[in-house]
Amino acid sequence: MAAAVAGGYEKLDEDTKARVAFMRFGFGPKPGGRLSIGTGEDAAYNACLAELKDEQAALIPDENVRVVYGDWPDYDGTLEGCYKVACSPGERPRTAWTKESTERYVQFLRPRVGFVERLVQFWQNHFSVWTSKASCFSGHMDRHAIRQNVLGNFSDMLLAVEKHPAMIRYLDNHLSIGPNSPYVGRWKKSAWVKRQGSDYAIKNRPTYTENLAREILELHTLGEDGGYTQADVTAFAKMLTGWTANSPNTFYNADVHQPGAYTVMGTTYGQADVVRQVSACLKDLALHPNTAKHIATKLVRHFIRDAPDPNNEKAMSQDTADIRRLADVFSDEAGNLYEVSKALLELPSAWTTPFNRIKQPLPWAVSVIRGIGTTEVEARGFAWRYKLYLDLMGWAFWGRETPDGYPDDNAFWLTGDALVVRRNMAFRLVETRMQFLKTMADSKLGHSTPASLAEDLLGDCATPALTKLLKRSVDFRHLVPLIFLSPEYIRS
Amino acid sequence: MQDHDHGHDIIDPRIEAAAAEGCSESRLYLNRRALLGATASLSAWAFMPRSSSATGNNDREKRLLVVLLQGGLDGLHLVAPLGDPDYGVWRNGLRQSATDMADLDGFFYLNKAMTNFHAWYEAGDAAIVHAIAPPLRVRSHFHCMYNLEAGTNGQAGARTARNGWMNRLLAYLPQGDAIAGVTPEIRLPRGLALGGAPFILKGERPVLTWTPDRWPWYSGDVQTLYNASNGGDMELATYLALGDGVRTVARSNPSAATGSVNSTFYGAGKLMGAATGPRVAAIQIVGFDAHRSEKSGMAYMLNYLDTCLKSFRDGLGEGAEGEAAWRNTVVACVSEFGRTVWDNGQDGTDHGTGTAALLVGGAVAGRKVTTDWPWLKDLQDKRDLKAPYCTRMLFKGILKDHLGISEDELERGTDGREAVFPDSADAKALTGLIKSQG
Repeated sequence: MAAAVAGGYEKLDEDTKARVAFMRFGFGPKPGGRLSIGTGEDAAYNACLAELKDEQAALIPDENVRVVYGDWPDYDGTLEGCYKVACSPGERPRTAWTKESTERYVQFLRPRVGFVERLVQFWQNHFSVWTSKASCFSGHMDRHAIRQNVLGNFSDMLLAVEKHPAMIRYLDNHLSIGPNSPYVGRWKKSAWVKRQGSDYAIKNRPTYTENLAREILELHTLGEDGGYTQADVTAFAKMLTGWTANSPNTFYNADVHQPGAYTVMGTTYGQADVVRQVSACLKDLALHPNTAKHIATKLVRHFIRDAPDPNNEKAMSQDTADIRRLADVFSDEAGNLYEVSKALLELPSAWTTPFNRIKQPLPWAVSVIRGIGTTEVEARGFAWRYKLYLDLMGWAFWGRETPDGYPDDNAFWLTGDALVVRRNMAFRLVETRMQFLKTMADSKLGHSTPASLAEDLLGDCATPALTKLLKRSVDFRHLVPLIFLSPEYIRS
Repeated sequence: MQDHDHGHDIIDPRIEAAAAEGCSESRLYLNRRALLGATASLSAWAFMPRSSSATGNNDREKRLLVVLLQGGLDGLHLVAPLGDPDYGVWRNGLRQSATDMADLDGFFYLNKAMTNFHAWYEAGDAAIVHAIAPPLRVRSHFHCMYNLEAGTNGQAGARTARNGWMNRLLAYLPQGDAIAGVTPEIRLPRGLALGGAPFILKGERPVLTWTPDRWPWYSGDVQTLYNASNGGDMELATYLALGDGVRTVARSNPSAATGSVNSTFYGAGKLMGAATGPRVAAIQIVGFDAHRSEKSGMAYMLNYLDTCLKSFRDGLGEGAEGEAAWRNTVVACVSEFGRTVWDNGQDGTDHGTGTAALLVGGAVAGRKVTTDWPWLKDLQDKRDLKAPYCTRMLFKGILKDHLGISEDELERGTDGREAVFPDSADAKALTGLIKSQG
C-alpha cells in the first residue's frame, strides 16, 4: 500500500498525514476521529480511500428534506415538489431551501474524514448556481445531479447539471428562443405583431441568449483559455434553444428550438432534435483535453495550493506536473471521477505541500462543528446560526451571484472582518455546546482538559504555542475556541 | 456587548529575562514587538487626528457612498411633481398636496418625512435627480437591481457580469496605505462594503467589509496565539488586528438604540471620515416595495432613510475635520425602478420604471432638481413614469466631476483595467451635479 504515494510522503509522521487527510481533504476530525483511523504509515491515506469506495454515502434521499407546511402540500424533495414550491407564494421556497441546507450540515457530520463531502462541495462550486434565481431547485440539483455522480462519470454529471432546471433558470436558457424557430414564425405572422407597425417584427423578434452556452464552455468544461471562439458560443447557443425546463417531465421544447446543424469546437452536430444534439455535444466537451486540464487545475487550486509565483521555477514545475498528472488520469479514464479523486489523493505534493491555504468558511466552520462533537440533533437546531455566521464571512449555500463560483485563492477569504467573525463563531459555538452539555451532566466535551481535546484532534501537530496556552487552565469556554482559531485549524 | 478578553498579559517576566540573555524563547517577545508595529499603525489609521495626517489629504480626498434603496422606490411619492397637471389625474388616495409637502422649486415638492434632507437641500448640500432608472427596464427586482449594481447596459440577455461597477472603479482610485512592518504587504482597502457586501462592490479588488455585531463580540487570547514565535502567524495576526481596528472605529455609536441599519450608517461615517479609511462605500436599505398601505409605509421608510443619512453625517464627525470630510462627500441614494403612476386597489403601487434619486453631501451642487421631465400625460407602457435618465448617466456624472475619473476610464478602460461602465458611450454623463471647486 505504501507504494500508492511516494515523493517525500514516506518521511512524514503519522500525525502530519492525519492532518493532511482531515484538514486538506476532509472536514476536520470529530473527537476520537483521528485515533479511529488507526496507526500505520498509510492509515490516513486509507481512511480517505475507504470513503471513495462508498458510493452511497453522499446520497441524501428526497425524504430527508421533506418540509411540512400544513397549509400547503409538503415539499417532498422531488423535482415535482420543487416545481410546486418554486411557484408558490411567500416564504415557502425559502423554507424548502433552508431545509435543504440544514440537511447538509447533518450530512457533514456523518463521515469520518469527509473527503467525498468535500468533493461534493468542490463540484457544487464548479457548477455554481445562485438560489435567488434558481430557487429551491438548487438543493435538488446538488442531491440529484452532483451527489449521484460525484464518484461516477464527469459526462454524466455535466449532462445532469446542464439539463437541471436550477442551471437552466439560473443561466436564463428557458428564455432563449431560436429566431427561426416555429414559435417565432407564428409570432411574426400574428395579427398583434402586424398591428405594431412594419419594423416591429424585425426590432423585437425574440432571440437566443448566449448565457448558458458561454458558461458551459468557459466555466463548466473547456475553461477560460479553452480554445473556443465566439462562433462556437453562438452555434452552441442556437443549438441550446429549446433546451428548457418548464415542467418535471420535459426539458426541451421543439417549438422554440432553432433547427439546424451546428459546429462546436470543430465537430458538426447534424440536424436532429435538441436533446440528441446537446447530449452529443456535452459528451464531446466533457472528454475534451482542455476540459481535463481545466478540471485538474481547479482541483489542485482547491485542495492543494494557490497559483504559484511564476518566478518560482521549482514551484511552477511541481504545480504543472500535478496538473498534468490529474489531467492525464481524467483523459485516460474517460472522466471517471473515482479515478480522478484517487489520483488527487495520491499526488505526493498533496501530502508534502506546507499548510498554506486559508480554509474557506464552510470547511472551517464544519471542522469546528465536528471538532466539538456536535450531534445531528444540535446541527439541525443550530443550522440557522451557522448560516448567519457564514453569511458574515461571505459564504452561503448556493449564495454566489456569479456563475464562476467562489474563488479558491487565499486573498479572497482572508480579511479582517471574516477573521473576527471566525473568532466570534468559534467562541459562540463552544459556549452553546457547553451549555447544551450541562443539561446532559457532561459539560467537558468528553475531555478532562482543553489540552487533551487538542491532543485528540491534532496529535503532535498542535504547536507548542497552542499547547502552552491551553495548559494554562481548564477553562474550556475560553480555551477550546483557541484550538479552532489556531493556524493549525485555519490553514490547510 | 459581552467581551471575553480576560486580559492575560503575554509578556511573561521570565521571557523578558530570557530575552535579556538572548535565549531563543525571547523570540516570542521580539515577535510581539514586531506585531506592535503593525497594530500601532492600524490604530494610527483608526485614530490619527486628520489635521496631523502625514499627507494632510483629508481636505482633498473625495468620498462616495452609494445607498441602494431596494424594493423599487416610488419617486412620485418622495418627490411629487405637483406642477404637472396630470399628477392629480393619476394619483388618488396617494395624492399629496402643497400643504403636506415641502416646496422644492414650485414644481417639485418633497415628502415631509425627509426633514434632514430638506434642511440640507435648503443649505445647498442636497439635490434630486428625477425620472431616472437603471438601463434595464423589466420591472423585476432581481434583474433591475443586478443591472444597477453590475453597471452593464440594458440589453436583455447581456452576459452576466463578473463584478460590480464600484469594484471596477477601485482600479482607478489611489491605492490604500500599506500597513507598516508587515510582509507580505497588506494595504488598507479603499472600498467599504457595509452590511452583507452588496454585489456592487464585489470583484477581484479587495474591499473592507463591516457589519455591526449582532452577537457577542469575543476577543479571547487569539492574538497571543498568532503572535507566538513558534507556530505563530503574522498574517493572521495582522488581519485580525485590522478587523478589530475597523470595529473599534465603527461601533462606537452613541445612539446605537436606533437600529442596526442606522448604526451601520454611523459606522460608515466613522470609517470614511478616518484619515486613511475607505473612500467609496455601498450599503443597502430594504423595504421600499410599497404594494399596499403605501402612505404609512413610505412615511416610515423615508423617515428611516432620513435618519440614516443624518447618522452618516454624524459619523463623519463634528468640527473642522468633520466639515472637511463632509465637503468632500457625495451620498447617492438610488433604486432599481419606480412604481406605477396610479395607486392600486390596496392603497399601494406596483412595479414601474422611472423614479427619483437623492444626492446628499457637501460636494453636491444642491438646492436643485435635475430632470428632463417626461410629463405624466405620456407614460411608459401607459402605466409608468418614463425615465429619460439612466443610473449610468448619473454615476458617470458623479465619477467624472467628483472623483475625477476620465471618460476613457469610464467607457473604455485604460492600462488593461476594465471600463467602469462598459459600452456606455450612449449614456451621456449628467453635468452640474457637483459643486465647482474654488
